[in-house]
Amino acid sequence: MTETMTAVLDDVAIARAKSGDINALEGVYRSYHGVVYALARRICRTEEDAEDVLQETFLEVCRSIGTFRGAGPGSLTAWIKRIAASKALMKLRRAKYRDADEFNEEAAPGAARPDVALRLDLEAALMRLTDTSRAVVWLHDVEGYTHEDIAELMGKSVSFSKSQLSRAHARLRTWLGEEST
Amino acid sequence: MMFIHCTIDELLAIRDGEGSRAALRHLDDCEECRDELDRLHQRVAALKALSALKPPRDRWSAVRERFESERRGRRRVLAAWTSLAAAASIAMAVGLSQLVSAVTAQPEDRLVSLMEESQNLQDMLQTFEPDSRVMNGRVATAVAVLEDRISDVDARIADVRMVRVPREQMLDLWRQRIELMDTLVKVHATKSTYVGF
Repeated sequence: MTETMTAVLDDVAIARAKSGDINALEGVYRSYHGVVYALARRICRTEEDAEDVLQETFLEVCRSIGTFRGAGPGSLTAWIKRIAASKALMKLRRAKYRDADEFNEEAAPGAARPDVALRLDLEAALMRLTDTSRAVVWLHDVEGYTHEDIAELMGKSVSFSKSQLSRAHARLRTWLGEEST
Repeated sequence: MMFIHCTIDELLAIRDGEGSRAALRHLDDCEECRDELDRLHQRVAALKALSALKPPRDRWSAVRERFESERRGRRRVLAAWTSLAAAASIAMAVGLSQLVSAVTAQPEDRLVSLMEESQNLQDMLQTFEPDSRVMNGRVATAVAVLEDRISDVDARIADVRMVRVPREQMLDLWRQRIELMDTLVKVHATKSTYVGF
């Protein structure tokens, strides 16, 4: 399961959160912190970065939930996850990864070398991808974002997103030893 | 005849319902490519089935502390603005004579004009609903800095009203306030055109 179970918030609880009620906002945090962390952890390289993204996401949620115009928990989930994805991608862009990757391929530390002799499990293979490729494959194939969404979030083109996805699958296929003989 | 298998790009396109006619035709005839597509589906299913990673620590108290601190700061600034706006209205209602006399005679009209401009900017700011805003960290920092500086100028304006000061000093403070308010309005106006989330 990639989704952490979330407690369902009813419309009243959402309305209270939108009014700035701190207890209702805590309810939003309790309902969604697992989902947000799971997403952030798959995109970020470290646990600490994912925790930062978790905190920044919910601070943004608290500040901005008054502007949330969707109806019901489903759209709230999508809204919060989009904030989380945006924060996680911003984290990748920041100093720690600026020199190593910065949404460019082929430079992340210890990542993306087409080592044909290697055979990894899926977790390890995923973490071996470049930050960008890992983010794209996760957002597209697991979270269901379109290439247009990803391009917008990353400030890149749709073809960039597609090529990252293609490279990611080529590498995963090799590292998982799935190549046909 | 040369037989070219589907590339990963083509298989991904087929999976996403965007495969070309040629690739789809090839897929019909090629067991190897069908197997490859099947492996692609299985790989994605395995990704979706990876265990959910749970946060090691609870971060709510940190979130709450920062949020409430920001909220207190905004309320403080808003209260300062409100009291100044009220003071400005009263001053204008009584012809400003009392307030301006603290500064010295003359350019009442300049002071009135500056106060009106400040009030207009404040009204404009309220249309952006500064308390229910979506902004990134950089914008939030800029807004916080501006709000702090406005608060500082407001405190100085309040101080000089208590004592007799050169009129230019009072005018200068109001000009500073207008400049800062103008920048703050621009920040909010720019932010409101950004369709972030």
